[in-house]
Amino acid sequence: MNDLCELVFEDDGETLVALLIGEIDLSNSGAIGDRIRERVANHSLGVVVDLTGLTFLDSSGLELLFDLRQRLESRRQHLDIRVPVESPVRRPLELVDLVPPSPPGIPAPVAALTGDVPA
Amino acid sequence: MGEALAPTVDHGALFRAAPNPYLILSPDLTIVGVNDAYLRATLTERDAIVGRGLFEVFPDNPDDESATGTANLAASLKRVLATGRADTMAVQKYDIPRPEGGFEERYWSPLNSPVLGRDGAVELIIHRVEDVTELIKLKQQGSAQEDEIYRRAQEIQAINEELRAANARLAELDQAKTDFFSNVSHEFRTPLTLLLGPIETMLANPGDLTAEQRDALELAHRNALRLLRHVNTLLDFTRIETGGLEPSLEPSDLAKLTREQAGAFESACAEAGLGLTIDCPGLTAPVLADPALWEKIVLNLVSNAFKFTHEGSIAVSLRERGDQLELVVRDTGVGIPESELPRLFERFHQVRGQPGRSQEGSGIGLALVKELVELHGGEVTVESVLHEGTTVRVSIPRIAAEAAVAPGSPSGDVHTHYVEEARRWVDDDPAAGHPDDARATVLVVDDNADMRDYLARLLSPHWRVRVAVDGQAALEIALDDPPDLIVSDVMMPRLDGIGLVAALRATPATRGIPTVLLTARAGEEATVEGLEAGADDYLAKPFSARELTARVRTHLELARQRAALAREHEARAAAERLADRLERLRAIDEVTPDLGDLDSLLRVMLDRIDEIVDAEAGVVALLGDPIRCISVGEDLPTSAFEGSVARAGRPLHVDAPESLCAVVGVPLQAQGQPIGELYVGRLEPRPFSDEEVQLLQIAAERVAIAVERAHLENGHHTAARPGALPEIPGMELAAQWRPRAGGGPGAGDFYEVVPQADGRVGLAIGDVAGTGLPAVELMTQLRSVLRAYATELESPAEVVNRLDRLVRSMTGTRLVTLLYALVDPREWTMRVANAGHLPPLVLTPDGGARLIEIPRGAPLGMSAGDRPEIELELAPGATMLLYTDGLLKRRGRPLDDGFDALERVAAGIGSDCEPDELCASIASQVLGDAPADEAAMLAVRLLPPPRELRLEVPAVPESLAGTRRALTQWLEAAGAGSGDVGALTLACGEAAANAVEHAYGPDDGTFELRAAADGEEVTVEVRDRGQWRAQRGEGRGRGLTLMKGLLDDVEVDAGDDGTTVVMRKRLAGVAGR
Repeated sequence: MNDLCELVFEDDGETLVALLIGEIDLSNSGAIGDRIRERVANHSLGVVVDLTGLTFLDSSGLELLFDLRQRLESRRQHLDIRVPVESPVRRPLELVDLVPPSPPGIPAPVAALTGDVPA
Repeated sequence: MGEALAPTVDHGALFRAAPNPYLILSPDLTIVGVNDAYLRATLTERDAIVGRGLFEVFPDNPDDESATGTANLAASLKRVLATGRADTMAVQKYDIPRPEGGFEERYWSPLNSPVLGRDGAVELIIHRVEDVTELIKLKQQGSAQEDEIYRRAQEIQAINEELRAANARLAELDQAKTDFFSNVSHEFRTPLTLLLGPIETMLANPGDLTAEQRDALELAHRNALRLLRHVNTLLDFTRIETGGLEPSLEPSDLAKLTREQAGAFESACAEAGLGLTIDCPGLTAPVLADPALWEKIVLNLVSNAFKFTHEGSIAVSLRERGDQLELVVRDTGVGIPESELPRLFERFHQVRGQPGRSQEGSGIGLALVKELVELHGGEVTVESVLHEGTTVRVSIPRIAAEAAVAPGSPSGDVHTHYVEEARRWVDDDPAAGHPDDARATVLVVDDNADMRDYLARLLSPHWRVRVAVDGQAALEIALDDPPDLIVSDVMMPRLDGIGLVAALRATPATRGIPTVLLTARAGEEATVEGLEAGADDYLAKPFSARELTARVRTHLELARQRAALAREHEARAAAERLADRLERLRAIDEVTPDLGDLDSLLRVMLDRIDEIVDAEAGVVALLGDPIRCISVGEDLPTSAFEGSVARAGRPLHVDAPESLCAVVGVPLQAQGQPIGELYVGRLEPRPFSDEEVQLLQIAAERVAIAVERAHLENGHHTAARPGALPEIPGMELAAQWRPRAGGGPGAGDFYEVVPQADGRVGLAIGDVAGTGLPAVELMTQLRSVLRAYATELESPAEVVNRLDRLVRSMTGTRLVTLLYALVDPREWTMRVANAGHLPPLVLTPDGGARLIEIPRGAPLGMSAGDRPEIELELAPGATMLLYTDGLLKRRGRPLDDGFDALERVAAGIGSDCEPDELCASIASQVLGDAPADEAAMLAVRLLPPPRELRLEVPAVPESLAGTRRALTQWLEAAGAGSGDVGALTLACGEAAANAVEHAYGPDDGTFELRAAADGEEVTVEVRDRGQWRAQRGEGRGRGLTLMKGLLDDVEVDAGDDGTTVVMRKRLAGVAGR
């Protein structure tokens, strides 16, 4: 994995939080996906992917997230994507419906881990 | 006597000893005489000044560029010489040279009066001055206190205003209730009237009906009439209440009217086994009365008697007694307890526990009788014995009418009367007359689409209407953007109406939204449930349009009143809190700044602050190397403070050392720049509350001002200067600010750069006349207001004129020159307005330098004057320099020399000079090492349109990031805002990734990226020499979706020899997304 993106994990035993800081494109999306998947324990309730520190995310990064969600769902685990309304990577996520469109001026509610992941 | 004394007086000695300062001038303004007071005041000797020119002796202080004393004096003397009349000058500030060097500041109020010769020509001028220096100084000190007193007086006035307004609202609320009654009654009348019409038509042809049908119809008819009666009674009331019921008095045969009305009860009484005696002999003359109202009086009294009499009889009699006419209705009914008698005529008061013939009774019959009788100038009395009976006496003045009884008295055609009135009400739709407050929003909730449309259609002429398909959707809308009122169905999927009401009431933001439920006829239980859940009202389906609009209108009005009241209470509470806080802060303001050095001043302030927030330790830490701490009270280990609070720029609760239990720090800031920190600590284990921290922040402002003040007095005023310049796409900026050599009081030279959301940028340069703290303070204030105006207003002339108004509104007005330009880096133009400032210097790309003349309006603070706004072109590559006159001033040299020097230096710099080089060159070559005065300059260069970007990139994933960087840099230079940069780099990244991934195998070949800007549109082209292939995978397949979603236009041209993707986007500016 190159140094475009830093990956920080926080694990409280129930939930894995992955903080992504930097940029994700074709050159590192595969490696990042692998590293997140390796860390998800069987007993985890799910994964929170925090994209607050991300400045670039292309469609290979979106594929990473779609793939992660699919894998987690097959194991009855949840994926929660956190991205602030003002983030530069919010728009691509909205365009492919990975996060709900944010009404202007109002922060989108972050889906709780136990709730439904917006489709 | 005067004449006798005259020869002994030495006029010369008198003049010399006169208490006010006097100076005698010849017409060429040579000093020919001076008295002792003047010499004392000016610290001069007579021998040294008599015989010399006035302005040679008293020049302006050359260090004070604002000094206008000599110019004003010269002008006044010139007027005296020209007109031969005395001339009073406004208060002037003079800089009097001290014998030991330097100048002393004096404020004088001078009067110049001529001494005329025989020919009427001015021979001498007497210059008399009054020294008002002390007065002016006192005034300057006093104004701060006056301001505080004034502010508090304003607050008290505001609170009183609120109280008055609250009382008025309560009265309105009362009125709203009466209106509500009136509306509701009207709403009942129409349907009732429409109900009675068809029933009566059918009953008129009984042959068509079976006996059963006729019985049913008669039952309906009776009850509809009864309801109509109640409604009418209510209406009469509201009309009396609003003064709308005026008796129309006419000569009436009241005996006949009484007989007819009482007679109507004959059959009812017979059926009930009651006797009815009517004793109403003909009267001697007709009486002035309102026949319709009299009928109501009789009807009400007799029906009341009938209702409460189970056996025995009812007697009605009418008699003339002197000048009174007396109606008596006596029954043998249940009677009224004595205790209830006094309240009998109160509205809505029904005697409790009395077995009536029916449960009906609005409780207003007797009260109405009383009102109606009083309308006739009469009175009502009641006597009653429990279980024996009641006697009601009505007496009205017997005013005989001359005329005979008018024909066609209304007694015969009550029905016609009703119909007429009903028609009037039907036509008088209140909604038609005055459209409702169009801004109110009504949310209609119904899962039935037809019903939803119908409701929206009914309500939309009056209000803004939103719709929701069920309770859940309505709740989401209400939480997002609360409507003013909700009309909701009860039965709905997901969340029904009851649940919706309960959810609304459970959330503070939606608690107050009035909610009207629509219930089906069978839904009575639901209705009760809904009202219990907190619905304000309900309407049973089917309902009429007017019924609905009337309810909505009434509840909107009630909600408005409630909200207004709540706001009043809140405002009052806030005002009280504010007053309390001000009271406490005054203790800090009372610390006078003349305590000597800054440290002692800060210690006194810290003591006061500790008192206010109930603390035992206080520290002011001033940033610097090293950080300097001033502390009072308990020991706070000062080594712990390393500027973290100042860096955070907000209050922080700090880990307390062992000796203390709670420590909080707030930053000290001057003009938004951190200058230090204020800490307080407490021995008690109680954290500082938000309120206390807020107080502390306000106190910190006072401390920061004290620190700044001390620094200014010592000649350090760099904190008052602008910070780093912003980066603006499409232009380069540079600025310099230079204090005068050797320190001394600061002047008010400043510049300001205000980026706009649309990519334009406001540039200001200005100069506040004068020096020292007042000038610097005014400058700081102006800069912050300028930033606000420049952000808000489109027009530079408007910005300048607003600032002018501000300066003129301030006491102790000073003159300010200001040039404000709004520069558009994409169009290479700017709009400029100039308030008395120097012309900008422009260096053209060909190496020329010239001043551009901009119509120079009056300086700020002088007059409202015309300050035209003009548009100028600023060629790409040209550099514009804005500057203050400190750049031009040379001791003893005219300003023009300065202009020449500036142009010469600028022209020598050459064509391709960066703004920062320009500023540096001018600073070193024009100002030199020891500038005579403070100077500010601001240079801007608009960049030429970026050339085309062309990249040849290896088609490997690792080159994508570098490509993005290059494109980002180019886009910013082309003037793209962050939103556009984000969209274009992502879209190009998709095209490039596709080239990398699918066009070639690993490590094979390159792809080409080209970008060009045309006006506000950017075109980027990504070309490879491989095959375009649709992307695989769920996310990757969305690459094209992303590109199309982000850009205005995407074309993919996949040919045999490669693929070209052309992407276009119109730039939206930095605010775009």
